[in-house]
Amino acid sequence: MKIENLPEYLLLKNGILIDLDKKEKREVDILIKEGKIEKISKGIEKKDKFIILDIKDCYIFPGLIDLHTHLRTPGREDEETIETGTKAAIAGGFTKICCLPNTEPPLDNESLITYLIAENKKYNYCDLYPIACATKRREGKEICDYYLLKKAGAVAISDDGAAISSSQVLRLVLEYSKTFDLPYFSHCEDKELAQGVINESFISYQLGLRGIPDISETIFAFRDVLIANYVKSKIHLCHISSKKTIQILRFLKENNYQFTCETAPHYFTLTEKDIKNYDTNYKVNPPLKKEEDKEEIKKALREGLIDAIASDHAPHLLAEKEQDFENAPFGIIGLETCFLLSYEELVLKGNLTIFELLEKFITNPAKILGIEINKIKENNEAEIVIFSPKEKYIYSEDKVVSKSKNTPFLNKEFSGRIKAVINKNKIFYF
Amino acid sequence: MKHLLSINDLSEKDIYKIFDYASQFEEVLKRPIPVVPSLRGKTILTLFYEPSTRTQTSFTLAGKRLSCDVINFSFSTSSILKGESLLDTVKNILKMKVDGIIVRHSVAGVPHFLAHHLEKENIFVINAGDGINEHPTQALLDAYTIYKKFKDFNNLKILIIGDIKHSRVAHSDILIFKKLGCKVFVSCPYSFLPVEFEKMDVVYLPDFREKLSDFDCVIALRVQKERHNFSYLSSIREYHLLYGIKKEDLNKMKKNALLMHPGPVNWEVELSYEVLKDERCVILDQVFNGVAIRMAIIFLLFQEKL
Repeated sequence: MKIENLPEYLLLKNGILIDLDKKEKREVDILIKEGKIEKISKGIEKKDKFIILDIKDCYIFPGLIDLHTHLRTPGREDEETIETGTKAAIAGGFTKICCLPNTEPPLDNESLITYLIAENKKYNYCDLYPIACATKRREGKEICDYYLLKKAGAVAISDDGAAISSSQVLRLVLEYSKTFDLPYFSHCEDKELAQGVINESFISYQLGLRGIPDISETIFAFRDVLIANYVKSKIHLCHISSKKTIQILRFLKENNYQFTCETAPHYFTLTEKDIKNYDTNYKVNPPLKKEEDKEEIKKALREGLIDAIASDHAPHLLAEKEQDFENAPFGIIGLETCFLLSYEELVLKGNLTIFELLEKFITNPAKILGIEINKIKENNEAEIVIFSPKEKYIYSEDKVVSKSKNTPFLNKEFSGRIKAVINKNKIFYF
Repeated sequence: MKHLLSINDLSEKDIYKIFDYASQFEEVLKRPIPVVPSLRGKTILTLFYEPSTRTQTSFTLAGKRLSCDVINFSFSTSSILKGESLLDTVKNILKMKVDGIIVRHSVAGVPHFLAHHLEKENIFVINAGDGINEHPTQALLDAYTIYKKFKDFNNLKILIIGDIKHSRVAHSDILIFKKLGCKVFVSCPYSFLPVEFEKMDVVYLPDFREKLSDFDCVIALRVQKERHNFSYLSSIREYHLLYGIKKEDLNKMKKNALLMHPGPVNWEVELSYEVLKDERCVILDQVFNGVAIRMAIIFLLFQEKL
């Protein structure tokens, strides 16, 4: 990864602009002057002081937005830091990321939110939107100071990694957060039922690993949407992974219940059958499920029932992952592979158009967070991803930008490659 | 084959080869001095992270009867208690130049984990029980005990009673009996059945007593209270009433049937104490056969004949 300051004039030649409003592709040149888009047109004339970047056959679209990143700061900077995490985000095409609050200590007070935002400004690779805790210490008992958290910069609340088990506390969380228009990001998991390490099925029996029934997700997704709708508050369901959950969500949507939801690429590219030889790089929470779940997720993405695709980037040290399956932590890194996997599985296999895919990565996440998209248009700051859909790209260990390397996609050959990202007056080459 | 981690690793031919060697080693075990010099100079390590009497002793004796040096690693005196990771333990063992590791662990997959990290070394790993996953040598000795009696597995009907969901013995037993051509039946409360159990290709009997006269072999499993996070049973009293083998049940069993149990038995839970006196009850024969089977496995892994 190479980072350079933008030259005074940068001319992107022959790119294919993905226009999300008109849903059309068109070949353009883009002239960027001092970080701002000066002109978008066909055949912009070259001048001596222009630095030219020929990006023939490459797609150009605005920076992606990730709703679900674990940056491990504060507390576990050995796994990831603001610097390495935001760099990994850029490498994956994300220019805006939300970081979840299950840190050590958790983000349950405004000073930590203020610290994260200040720390991010030191590097200034991408925009950081912290999500604060819903309850103090993520214990599911006392609600946090949402007004102060929002004032400090939090964009949503969540106890991610731990569901709020008390329905009464959840009701209070949703009612109080409504006062400040903060969406609640739900980690749907009935922990009482979910006392295992992989999906409960014949495969968990064959491997002798304790199983997590898929209904543990479904039950809490259903409950959480019902409570949120009862108090008319904003709810977003994180990392949806099961067919049963989707069936329930479809029923709720048909009956005009309001909610949004996301999935992560491993839930539509992998299944429990991929867990071979107890490889802990396949240990994720919620666990990988069956082929029919994977297919249902793709169907829900096509239908628009699933609004967004998030990375659920969860870095862990090799020493933590390189142990027995039961004791290894849940989670894989995902920022750098999230878009590539989605493009390959969804666009190249005909599940979504590139426009529909970018809705899941840009338009919908922005709506969920209530933030503006920095579109590719004249007079806007340049915040651009340059993606080559025809190039092959092998994600080898030396290319990993994140501080941790826990991913099952190491050495996978992708069809498509992020060539460069322009953001914050810098250009990042890969 | 380099390691013995699962019954799935063995072909039918491998299993009969193990039986063949075990029967030869049985002869050795019956000698006044039951030792052969086959593996003199070799060293194996028993790495037991869980309490065990018979399996660890059985492996230790099996090694010693082959003149192998056997070092027993005990959890209570190990560096695990100081926080040493499994991988660090392996790296240390490697430097100590052992030839084989016999491992028992409460977590499924630990023998596979060790085998994976020792793949480039000339060291074999034997799974002596991993969590709720498998206990392949117990399954081999169970099958050997049945083989000695019937000499043919085809169409034998075998009933396994107990906690099928959490029992590593049940898991390995089902795999081996199906591989050898038996028809396998299980009986237990539904809370002891794995989800999607129909994919196991076994017959579930809610009440085994109705069919007790059909079986050639009945295997009772230990109720493993230590593995249960929850109360899977209403009470031991009710379990014994419904699933315990009592003296009157023996009357319904075939005259030449076998009654087995991997041990240790909870008397008056899985079995009434009285059944021990019945000649069809071969629990102690299983223990004897276990040493011969383990001698065969260790020997064959050293010879790389599996």
